[in-house]
Amino acid sequence: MPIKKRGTGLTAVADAWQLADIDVTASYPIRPYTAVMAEVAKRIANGQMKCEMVHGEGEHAQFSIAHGASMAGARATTGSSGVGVTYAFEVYSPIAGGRCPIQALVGDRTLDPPGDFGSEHTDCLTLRDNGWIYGWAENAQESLDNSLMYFRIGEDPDIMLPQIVAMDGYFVTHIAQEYEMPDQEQVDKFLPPFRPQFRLDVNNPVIMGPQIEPEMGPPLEWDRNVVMDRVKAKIAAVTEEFGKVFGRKYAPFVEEYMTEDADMVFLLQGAHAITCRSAIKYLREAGYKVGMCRLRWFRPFPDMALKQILPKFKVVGVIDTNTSYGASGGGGVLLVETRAAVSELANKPMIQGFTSGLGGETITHEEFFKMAEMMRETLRAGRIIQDSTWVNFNDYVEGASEVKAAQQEVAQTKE
Amino acid sequence: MTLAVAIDAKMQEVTVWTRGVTLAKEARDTATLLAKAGKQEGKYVQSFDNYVDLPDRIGVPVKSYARLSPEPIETYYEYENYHPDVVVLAEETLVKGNDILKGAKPGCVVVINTARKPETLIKWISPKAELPKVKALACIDANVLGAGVMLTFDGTEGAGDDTKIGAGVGAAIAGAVAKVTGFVKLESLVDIAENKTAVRQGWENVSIMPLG
Repeated sequence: MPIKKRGTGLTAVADAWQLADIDVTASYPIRPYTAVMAEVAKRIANGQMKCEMVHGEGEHAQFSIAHGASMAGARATTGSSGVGVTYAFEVYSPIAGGRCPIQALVGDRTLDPPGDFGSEHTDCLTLRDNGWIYGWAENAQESLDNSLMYFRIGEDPDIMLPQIVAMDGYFVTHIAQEYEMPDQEQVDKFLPPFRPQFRLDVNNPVIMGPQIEPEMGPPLEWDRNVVMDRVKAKIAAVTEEFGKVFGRKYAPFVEEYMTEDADMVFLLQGAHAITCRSAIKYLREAGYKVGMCRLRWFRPFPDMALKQILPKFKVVGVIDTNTSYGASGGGGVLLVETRAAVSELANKPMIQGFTSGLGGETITHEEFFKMAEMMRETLRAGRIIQDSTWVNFNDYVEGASEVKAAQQEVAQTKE
Repeated sequence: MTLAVAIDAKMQEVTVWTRGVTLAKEARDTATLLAKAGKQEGKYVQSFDNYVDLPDRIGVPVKSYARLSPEPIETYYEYENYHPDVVVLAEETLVKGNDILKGAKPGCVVVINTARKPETLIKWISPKAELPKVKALACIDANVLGAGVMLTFDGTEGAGDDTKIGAGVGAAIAGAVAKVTGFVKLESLVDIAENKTAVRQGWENVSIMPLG
């Protein structure tokens, strides 16, 4: 029987790793990732999990250990946050290019400076060109479910790609919430054991990651490109099967909320969707025809889904909880990707960017209201007024100064 | 633009101040017990540690929070209790040098774990401008009740807490808070706390000084 639990995104992923019966996990502490390591260590000590835990001397080592374990045929996991994620940067491409389907948990954290523990998606988004597959969970349940789905997708013999179970630091990693831990039998039915076709084995020697001639590289890269396209169909199929086995149905790529008659939508990913839905309720009561599109995947980017969904709307407000300094449009990564996805459509909507929730700040109801108002001004103007708006910094909404003053007052009570 | 809406208007916020590591578990237990008791009584609840306080530093002032609401909590992913209904100090010296009343709601209640009388502590409470908002100051000498203090890192940083909940002084403080505020019933707390005697003693021994 599935168990109702109260826990965080970190305990939920530890549950998923326990159910997936992982062979090796490589750890190194950094907030907010740390507790998954503590959870797994505790479970090994309790006899709940049988797995080899190797503590690296840093994140580069940590990911390398998981890489090596995967080459030897182990179901291996690891994870990190913020500057820990970027410290391991060298090894992401070799892991993906070597087709080692390890799973990493990333609890987002800002990159320095300054030293801040809050969630920003920038850490994980810097890996976007390395061939890993990943998306953001909005709560503990989705973290657990994503973890199981990612193992299944990534370890598929047709795919063989590493995955990142990404989640907002603190919001999802630390705030206790209700979730359901599936039954072992269900998981065994859904997720077969990891049996790679090739692995390091003294009796059947193979070479992994050798030096090669220049002309031997492009075919491998073409193959990595092809698989990234092929994985989309696999995601759709596995998400549907997951729904059948576990009874929780997710949109494969983009979750739509109150979009049926919407003329404008927020487009975002991760934890802030929770507050967004609540804000939409009030906005609807006040006469705003607004909805939400939440990306469940970032790599591969759900461009085909967005091509179908976005032309329904007049204005799309892309909320970036990340920075990409100097990027096209002056906003973040999601703005660039979203615009590119629909750029060649004749009936594309107006797409404006918002940067909000940086430093791990909650995107408050007030900020969602303000963004909705700016989208309405765009709608009325019939053109993009400002490519991207850093909320509370260069708002163009009428009355923005009053809201800013009110917020400074709140900020003072926050210290 | 701002919509004139009151979000989480009925939510009750409990902020428990404590000392990093040395008394963190007890304060977390106070918050956890109040939330769990509220849940048992059919309320929507949350309890969590402050993330920004760096709870692995020994002795620094840190906070644990509980939230109870008759309606689903909409500011679910807020970091802190910005407008506490109850401020609890798990240790008396926290009263000095910390703006414990910052953002407090009118009618706020302060509960301090101390052997002293409320009258002797009131002069330290800050910010002074917020003091008229305080409805009552209550003191409970939880340390003499013999429940003890548990030291553990379990349950910190988003990990699960597999140790006993409410075995030490935190349980007595929760009992005192329940009596002063009426947020949860004594029976609910007794039902879930490990140390049921401590909860009852906290309820019975709290001394309350009405203000304003």
